[in-house]
Amino acid sequence: MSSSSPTSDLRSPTSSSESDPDVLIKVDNVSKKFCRDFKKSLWYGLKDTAADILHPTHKSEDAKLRPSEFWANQNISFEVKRGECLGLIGHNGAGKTTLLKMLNGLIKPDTGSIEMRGRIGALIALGAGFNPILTGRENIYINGSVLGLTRKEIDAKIDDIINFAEIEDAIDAPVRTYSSGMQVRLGFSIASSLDPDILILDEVLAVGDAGFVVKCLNRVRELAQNCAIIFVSHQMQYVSNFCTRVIVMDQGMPLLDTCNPGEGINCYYGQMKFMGSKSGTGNAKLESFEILQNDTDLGSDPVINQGQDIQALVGFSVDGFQRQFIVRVFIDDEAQTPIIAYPLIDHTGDIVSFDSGRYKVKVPLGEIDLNAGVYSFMVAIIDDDSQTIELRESGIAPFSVVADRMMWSKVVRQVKVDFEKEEI
Amino acid sequence: MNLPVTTYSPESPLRNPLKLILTIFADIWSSRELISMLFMRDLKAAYRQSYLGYIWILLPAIATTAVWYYMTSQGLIEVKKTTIPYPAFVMIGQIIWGTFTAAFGAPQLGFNGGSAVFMKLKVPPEAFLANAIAKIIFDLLVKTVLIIAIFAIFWNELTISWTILLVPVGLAITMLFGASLGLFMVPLGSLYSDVGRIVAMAMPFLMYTTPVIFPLAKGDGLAATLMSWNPLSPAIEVTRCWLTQGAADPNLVFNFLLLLPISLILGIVGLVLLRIAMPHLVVRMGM
Repeated sequence: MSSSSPTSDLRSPTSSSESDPDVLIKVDNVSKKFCRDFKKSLWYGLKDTAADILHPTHKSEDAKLRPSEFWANQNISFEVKRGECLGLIGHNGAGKTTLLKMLNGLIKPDTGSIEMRGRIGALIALGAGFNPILTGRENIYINGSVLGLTRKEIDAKIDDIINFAEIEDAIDAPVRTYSSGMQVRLGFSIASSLDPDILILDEVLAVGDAGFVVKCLNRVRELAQNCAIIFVSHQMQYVSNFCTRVIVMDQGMPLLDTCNPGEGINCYYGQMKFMGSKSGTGNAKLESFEILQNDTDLGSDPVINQGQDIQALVGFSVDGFQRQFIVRVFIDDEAQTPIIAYPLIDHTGDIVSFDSGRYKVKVPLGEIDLNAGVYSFMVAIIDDDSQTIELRESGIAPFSVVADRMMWSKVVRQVKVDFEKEEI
Repeated sequence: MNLPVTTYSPESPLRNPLKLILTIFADIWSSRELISMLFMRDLKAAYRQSYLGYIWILLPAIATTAVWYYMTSQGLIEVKKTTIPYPAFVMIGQIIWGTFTAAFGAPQLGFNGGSAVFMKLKVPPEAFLANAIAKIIFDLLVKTVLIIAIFAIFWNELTISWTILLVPVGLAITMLFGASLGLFMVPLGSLYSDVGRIVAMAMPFLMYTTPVIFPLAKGDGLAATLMSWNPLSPAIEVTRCWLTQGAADPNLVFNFLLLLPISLILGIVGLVLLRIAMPHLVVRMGM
């Protein structure tokens, strides 16, 4: 198959191939419209098809939106070379899937052009076309064939596929008897047995058990050496590990395009909106919450380098005759899972209790050895006697932690070690 | 290194129609292994959960024939005398008509069956359509059992002549005609379910305007006019005649053979139409 001439008149069709033979993916000013109204979208579909038939030579670069339409992708341009891995990150609805569908040739861009060089492998719909009634072995042939492998190629690879998926015992049983994990393993194993020039990965590592994910990662890394990869994931550890470049998408548009994955990840986290929640009896009230560094207020949405020391200045008031209250401060991660609890104690080591009144407490939070990401605080004020929760407020004072590297853990603690080499 | 370059742009693929047609056929050719695997898959899966298995291919035609034989033999419905025994007439008519309706439905059936795959992966949708059509050919081969049975029962009332060799041609044209018409419906039928419903309603009526159950009506009544204008009438009449009697009316044969070029043109146009509509369909169905 040879290429039809690209839409853009700015350059000649041959210029791109001359520029750099290692550029395998070239996306040039691509936009795509979608329609929110389903009935209307069907009608537009009919009209667009009719326009393609009736005016085939008409330049259909149409940069105008019709009623109910919006830009699902707008003005996206990038190139990916062999050996590079582009991470596409962004929140749900940011337009990543749309872009992948265009890269895969399933839908057409409304403006711009996409050039793909070489064999395209897509780890998108793992196990698409699996027939539950047929055996795993039969499905390998069908699925492999769907992915563009010939019978001969599958014959040569089938043992590797079965071994990799770790389903030797079940391979001649119907696929419907497989657990979902087994199906995904088989799907990944088949899809990753291609030798593509371009590899499109959509959230494929989000499934399966931890052991298999590690195997997948190693397989992808193996493939990565020789192809251009587009990688979509919500898991920033993967992005940080794989990507040589990151595009952060927001509402269909590239928000940031950077060769520093760390910067891209920070930007992605920066987009996160914390939906704080507040509940309680009304006897306690959080008045203020400041993040300090060396007694200086860092303001709102501060960025903290991993390993820095910070403090919190918590202002609150409690109200209740002859009652004692205790205060707890937590740091939550982006999913509002508590990561660190800070019980407040006095010099004797006892939990501090507060009676009715208004307070400002400086809490030394210590060294922030959290993994790069976004965090927020949660404060709970509890009646010491009855254990009634007087106040529970989360999503307070969000901050982000930046680091050169993301780790596969919530806490990152660098340690100095002593060691000696043992002679054997 | 000379890697194949694929370009995606907003342009209509029809800008270069010849290239588009060549691409479609090249894609179908290169997915022949896929088609055969899909076919084997469906064949293996279709009757794995069934006790009677492949007998289900035969039963509908037997049942319809039995119903009509019962109604006419008991005088509930009067049918004009047919040139061959009535059960043979209905049975063979059913098989030919069934080939047409199955072929007509096949493109949409194949499209729906494969949509989960080609809405997500870049696979030629024609492979799934071809698979559905291969299923019809397989069914037809199974149905030769019925034809042999008919000949065994009415051996002294039917004629076996050299024209029996033309029967596969007749069935092929009937199938091609059905499939090319059905192909046309896919883009619209995939967007709007109304299309499928209208077809489901119209098909039985269409059957009664062909000589499947009733012999070709003569004269100038509405039924006769409808039957003579129905392009399927010659298909059924001629193929049945070739099978059971010998040479058919040359006028009918001419009308019948006319379907071949029409179907080929319709079929190619239908394939092109589907290719043009595909990206628009994926946006509406697969997102």
